[in-house]
Amino acid sequence: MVGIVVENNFLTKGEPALLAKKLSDCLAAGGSQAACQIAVQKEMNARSNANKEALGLAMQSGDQGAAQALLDGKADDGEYAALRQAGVDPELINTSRDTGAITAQEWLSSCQGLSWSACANAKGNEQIGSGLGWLGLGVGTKTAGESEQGLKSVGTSSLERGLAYDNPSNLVQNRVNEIQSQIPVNSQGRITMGVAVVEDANGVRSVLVSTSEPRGYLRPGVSLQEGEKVVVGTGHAEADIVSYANANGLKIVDIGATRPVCASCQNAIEPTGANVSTPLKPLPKAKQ
Amino acid sequence: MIMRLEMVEKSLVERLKKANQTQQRDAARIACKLVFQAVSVDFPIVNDALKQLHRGSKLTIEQISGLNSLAAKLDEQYFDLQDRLDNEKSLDVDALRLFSQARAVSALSFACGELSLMSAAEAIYEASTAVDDGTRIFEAVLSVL
Repeated sequence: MVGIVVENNFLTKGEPALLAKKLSDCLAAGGSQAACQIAVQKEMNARSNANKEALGLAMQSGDQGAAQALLDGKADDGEYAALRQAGVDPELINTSRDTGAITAQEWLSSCQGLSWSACANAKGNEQIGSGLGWLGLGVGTKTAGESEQGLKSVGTSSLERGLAYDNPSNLVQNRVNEIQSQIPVNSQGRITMGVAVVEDANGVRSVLVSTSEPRGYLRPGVSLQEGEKVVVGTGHAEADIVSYANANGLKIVDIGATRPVCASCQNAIEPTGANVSTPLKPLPKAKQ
Repeated sequence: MIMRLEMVEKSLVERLKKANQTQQRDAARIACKLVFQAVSVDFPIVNDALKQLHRGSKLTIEQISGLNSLAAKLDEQYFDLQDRLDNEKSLDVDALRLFSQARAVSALSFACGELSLMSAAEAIYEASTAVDDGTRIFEAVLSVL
């Protein structure tokens, strides 16, 4: 099974030698082995993350030439030997393996139309996190947070369109789960994103997505599907969808959010009669 | 996969895709130039990066990493301020300022790194979300494509 694109460290040609030199310079300058190793390890991680991100950007943009050049430019195992010889604990070094790695072309064709996490799930692989929350498949378990049912719907727009009519609640839950998994980890507890299935006067349904962030900002890694529309609002994701729907003559069929729906949003949703498919935040007790 | 910029300016992304590398870099550069005219971010690492951007030189990995750290720090401050607000209130002015600064620094980081269609698009998107009306940025970017 192919699937390993990048595992852990991803240094480019010449970087292991450069880091080995930095380590020896640090030691020569009187630094302790531990301090120098930590400093070099830290830089190795930063470089590795930058390389992963560059590869992720190239792949996401469909720039196959750039992606392939980055894959071709990976340092090989022999180069990591320089780091080992310089005294960096080999346990800290996990080289990116060439064996079994897929090419950018293969990757792009196999993931066409899917988000990275959806693709990881579809292939039964584990998504390896990177700085921007994209990229990288390693053989392992499915990405957490997406159900088997969700997997089937991801990337199959006709099924999604069907769900909007047949089971809008399921669609909302699936999209909320997927979007939640795409929000960078350090922002997950601090951003609320809303998803709603809405229906126009002709009975045509569509999907609205909103965020608690200013100006409708989407964090890197968050991707929308064809036909979905971002609603820009004032900071309460679900209430912003209600305002948009009211202003545009749309009926909200189903709505959900990546965090429990707050009291003010519950109050905004209530008159619309929409079903709320994700947890609600308990309402504050009335003052005596 | 839909690029974030495509969600707001699909036609611009189409133009960006057809542009050569120089045009893509110019597009990212002009977006950064405009955003830093609108958003004040006074940090040495930003000032140095802006100078290098205008000279057309690429930043080192350490500089890019420093910009990313600064953007993350500004985001953290923005989130902290937001969390302190009453749940019923909407965005506060100081939080919005920090958010805008984080987006501007992030735009700079994308614009100064390895050039690709994606990084140019990301720089423009980040820059456009740093200001209330991104139209001016989009128009300026289109003028170099």
